[in-house]
Amino acid sequence: MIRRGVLVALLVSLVAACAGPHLGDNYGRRTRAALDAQRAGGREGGMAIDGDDAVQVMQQHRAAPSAGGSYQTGAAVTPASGIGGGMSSSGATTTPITPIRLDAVK
Amino acid sequence: MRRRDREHGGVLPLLLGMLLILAVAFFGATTIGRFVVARQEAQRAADATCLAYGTIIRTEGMQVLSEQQRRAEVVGRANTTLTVLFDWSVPPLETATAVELTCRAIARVPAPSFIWAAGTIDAIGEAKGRAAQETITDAEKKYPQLTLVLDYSGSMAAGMGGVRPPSVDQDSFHVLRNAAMTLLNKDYELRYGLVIFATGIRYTTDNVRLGNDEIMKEKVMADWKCPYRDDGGGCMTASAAALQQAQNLLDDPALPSTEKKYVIFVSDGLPTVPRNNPQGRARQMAGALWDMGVTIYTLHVINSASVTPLRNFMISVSGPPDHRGVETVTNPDGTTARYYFNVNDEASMNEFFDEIGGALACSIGPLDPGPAAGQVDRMRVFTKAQGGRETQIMNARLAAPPANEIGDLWDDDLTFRNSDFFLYDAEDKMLYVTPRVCDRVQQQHEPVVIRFASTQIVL
Repeated sequence: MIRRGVLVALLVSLVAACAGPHLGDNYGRRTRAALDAQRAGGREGGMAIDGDDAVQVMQQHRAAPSAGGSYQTGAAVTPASGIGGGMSSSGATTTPITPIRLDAVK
Repeated sequence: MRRRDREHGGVLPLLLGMLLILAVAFFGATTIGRFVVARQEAQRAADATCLAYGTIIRTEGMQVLSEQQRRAEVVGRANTTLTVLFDWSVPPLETATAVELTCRAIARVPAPSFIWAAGTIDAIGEAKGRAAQETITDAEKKYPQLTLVLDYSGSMAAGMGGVRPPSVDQDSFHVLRNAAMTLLNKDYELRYGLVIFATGIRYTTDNVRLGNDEIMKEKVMADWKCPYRDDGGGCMTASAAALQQAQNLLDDPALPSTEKKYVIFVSDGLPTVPRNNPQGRARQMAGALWDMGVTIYTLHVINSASVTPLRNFMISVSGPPDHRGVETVTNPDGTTARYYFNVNDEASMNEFFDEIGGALACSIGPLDPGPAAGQVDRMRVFTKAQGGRETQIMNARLAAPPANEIGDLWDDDLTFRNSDFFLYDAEDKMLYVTPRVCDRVQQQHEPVVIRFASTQIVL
């Protein structure tokens, strides 16, 4: 009986120990998502925030690709191999960095 | 008979007298003839010497005059069969518009000493040569006018290349700020302006002027809420408003109209503000910039998977006024000038800003009347020190390899900058010179003397 009690206590402790950070992480993300959703809602001129808004913002924080606009953050693009004509995973060729000289006269 | 005796022998003195007169007349006529010929020879020698002296001064400037005169004398002597001497007692008379040369050649003609006690007559030929020149005492420095337009929108919080940044200090926003500081810390002498934007203009300098880089260093690193906090509009991307503000700054009538104007537009996202046709509005503003002669460089910060739409947009607002909406332009000399750039990591971002160079210019002129088309290559330019000694400024167009653009004279990577060179712009009749020459004119007040016309004999 005592053994079973100790075992249960250990299991509960383990679950709690593991769950804590995850809950915290999720809590942080959700809070941030909610704030961002409010902000996004603010842009819409007071429109009600729905679940899609939160999902969209969460996707942004999870580095998922999203539609255009200023919130194209976190997309999983492998950096091109240096400069000078490398290819990024998105298929775009990075341009060579040629020196720019700003001349004073026409 | 008596009368006859008296008359006997009376003819002899008369005859002797007549012989004497005839002898004097003969020697006199001969000497005068030789003198006339010698006078012509001396004049020819003087003319040739003056022309040669004028050419030497035009090509070398006024150096050690006695040495230059000796060389001119060689030319003079080659133009006569007589032995001539030269008299340089009248020094060159210089004004702002000409150098007047007085050249005197002397041919000594032997003469009967019973007539000319010295035994010689000096046949003097004198010539006056006029070498036209222009003298300019002022030089004006010209500076590139550059407005940096930096995107601080929310998406700049993403990592470069679209990967999650190891820390917030390595996201696109921080990488951009640090790279921009690299440029500003170079302390280039540029007329700087700055526009920081997100949903709207977060910061702008009051104007575009020299010395703005100090305040810009502070403002680039300041907290403008975006990209991490809300600026009241969600840290969107108001590219059109930013380009319009750049146009306002560069359209300042106080700015010299002859200087080149540039915008470096940095963004990581398609325009989202205003709601109605944001890309079209931004392109419209780019068109307004081109209309006022602004060259637009764009830097596309790749930090998302969606690259092509932004690339297309950025290229559409890139280019010089005469090649609008282009990624690159092939120059007449075969080189390629790039106007659209993209970067996807910190190293390439730093390299972009590090590779920006400023090429000032120092103008002298305009020349009035300036050389004709055929005289440009024979034009010689000098600075004149206080003692009158002239230092020649070389024509960079005739150097090997030659300079092709005025900016080449101040380019750190080329050989002209640390020497005395000039370039002549025939269109506006302006001379452009390297920094050393500019400093001599501006700080040591040495006038610039320009010579291109041939010497003319005026007497």
